[in-house]
Amino acid sequence: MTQAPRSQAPSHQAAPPLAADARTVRDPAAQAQTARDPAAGGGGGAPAGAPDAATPTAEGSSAAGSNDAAASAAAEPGGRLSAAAPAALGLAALLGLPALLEGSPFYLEILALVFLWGAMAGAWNIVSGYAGKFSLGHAAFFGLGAYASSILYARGGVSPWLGIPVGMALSVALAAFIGLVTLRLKGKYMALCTIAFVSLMEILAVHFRDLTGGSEGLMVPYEPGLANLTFANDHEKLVWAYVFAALALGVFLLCRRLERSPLGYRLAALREDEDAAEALGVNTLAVKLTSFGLSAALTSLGGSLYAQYMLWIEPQYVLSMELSTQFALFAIIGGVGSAVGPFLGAGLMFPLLTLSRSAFPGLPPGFNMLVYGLALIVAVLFFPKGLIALGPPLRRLARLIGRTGRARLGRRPAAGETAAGLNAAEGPAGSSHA
Amino acid sequence: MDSSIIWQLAASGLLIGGVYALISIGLTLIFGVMRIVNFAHGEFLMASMFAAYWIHELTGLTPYWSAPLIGLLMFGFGALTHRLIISRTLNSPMVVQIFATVGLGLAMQNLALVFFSGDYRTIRAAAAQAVVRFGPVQVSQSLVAAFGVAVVVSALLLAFVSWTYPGLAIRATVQNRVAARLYGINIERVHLWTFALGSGLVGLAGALISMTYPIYPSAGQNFGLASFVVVVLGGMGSMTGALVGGLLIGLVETVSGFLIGDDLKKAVYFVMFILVLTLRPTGLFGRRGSEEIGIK
Repeated sequence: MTQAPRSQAPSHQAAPPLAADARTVRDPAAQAQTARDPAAGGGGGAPAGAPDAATPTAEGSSAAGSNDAAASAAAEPGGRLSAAAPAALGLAALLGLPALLEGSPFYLEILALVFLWGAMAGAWNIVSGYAGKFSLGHAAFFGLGAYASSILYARGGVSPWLGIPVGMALSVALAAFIGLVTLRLKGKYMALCTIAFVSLMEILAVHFRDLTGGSEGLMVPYEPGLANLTFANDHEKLVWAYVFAALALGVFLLCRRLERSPLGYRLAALREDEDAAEALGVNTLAVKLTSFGLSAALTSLGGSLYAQYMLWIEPQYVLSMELSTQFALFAIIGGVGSAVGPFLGAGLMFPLLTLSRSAFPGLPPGFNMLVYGLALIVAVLFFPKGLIALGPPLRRLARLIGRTGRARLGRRPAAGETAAGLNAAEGPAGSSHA
Repeated sequence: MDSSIIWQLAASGLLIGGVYALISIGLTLIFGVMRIVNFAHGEFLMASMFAAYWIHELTGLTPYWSAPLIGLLMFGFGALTHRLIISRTLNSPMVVQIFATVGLGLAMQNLALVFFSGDYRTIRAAAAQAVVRFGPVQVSQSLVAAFGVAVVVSALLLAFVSWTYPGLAIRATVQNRVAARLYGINIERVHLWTFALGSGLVGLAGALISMTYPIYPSAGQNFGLASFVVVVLGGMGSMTGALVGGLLIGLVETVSGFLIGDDLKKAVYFVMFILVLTLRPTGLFGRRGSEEIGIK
């Protein structure tokens, strides 16, 4: 694939973030725009389509996150971009990583899955974080996507490129149904109903074995070729790392735009106080359904891609409660309701556990999920804001260090600098508290 | 169809329904009083089943005799869980309320997997094999016991809530937490006792079904899901609803298992669940509007 050289460029950009005037801060942002092209290609075009609706509002204000006021207030003119830039910079840098890791398939696979799980947590976050409607069965959409494209391909010879939109359409329809049934109700009904659906689908997937392969799972034919969305063994992992990176970037940018779009504001309004939002004229049901459908479509897309990546799916995994919980877990650990949180959560938890498992092969089965469970309890009880809550303190710290450092050099501190300096460390944490 | 088959189906269905009811009563009690859904409920059940297994392995005590002890153990475990986790979540945003118990369930299930592996275990006691005959109908003795306990416990619980002073305090808390506090009810204590009581009941249930069902780390998951279905069907917070809903789900499961096969029978009650949510979200016995109160 030709993506490798292109996305190495951003990784070089990322290196000297301290030299940040308006121009250099802007550059990585532009890079990110280019880097988004593969998102359209690899992601079947879906994530790219939706955000356009939000473009007019998003463009102008996406730069200065509300809680970033502190950082941007002091900023000189160039600092206006300081909130968008870190996000772009962080992801652009990550796009260079797969190429660097090409020699070690193990790490490359971890990285690829971090992108995928981060994207799935991000998709979960759209309905659960932004709209505040918690789904405990998002694997239903993941599994639906995986089974739709795989069944069409394995049983009917239909290219996954066509299977993916079919899966997404089915997922949107399912989300609309669940949404119409439960989103009128308050409280935890949606969580319960999504659990019911994922369990129901697992039962059905196990039962209709002629179609789904039953509990032994479904093998996806291995016929390398772009038309089949299957890649030959030699560079397969690298390609998939980029496909998942593109998906991740797509989800991330979509969430960023969503935050500053009219829909995003309506979501925030209904999350904070549904009755008040309704009184102000927000069509809460429509807003909830839209976010749920969007979330389901992205999750389904991830499921289809996962099936093509693994070339094998089994109902006990792709339609499990564990997988559903994992989506939520990454988003919660990273920070619910922020664009970058899910990726931080996935980027911290998934490698940590995979590496610890490979370092201590004697760990019993169940160890990973035990740690996930404990981490979830600790996270919601003691750090309900997630890792993104570390953003502001770190930013202050960095500013302090930057200031003293520059005072010693006898130079006036430029806020654009410090903000950019942060990018390297904490990435896009800024936008989170919308 | 042979009439004896119908009787057999009805008897098995009602008995299994009694088990579901017993499992669900604790869940609905906790929900009604505290407005939280304990997503780890199934894992509490699984823990009780393992407790019954190990007590039987180590001391030879059959689950009939260890059931009260396990009920007490789970009562204590519930109190501890409330102190350490639940009490911190009651006034928190929904994400905290949901995922604290989701995390607890995940941790408990996998703790069991780490310690006991995923093997199926069964209690090999004479009592586990015993059957009871009623005319043409043959049913497992342990299920009859579980059913009996379910009926007695629900009756006792209803009496407790209706006629005793602590029961009055519980009902007051259900109606209006703030007003109850103004009348001098110690809400924290009511919550603590409710959660412990609900956990103790599921402990009792776990011990009683441990002779009938295989014991393994995710054994609680299906029962947990079934009890959510029962509770929503009966009306969240309604104890009569849990009893009737449990019996209904047991019957439906048994009959559909007979008609369409074992592997699809659970699909039927999930479909029922979705239908209830669509048509009557308050459940059979829920008060109108109870699906909306206080659980935001």
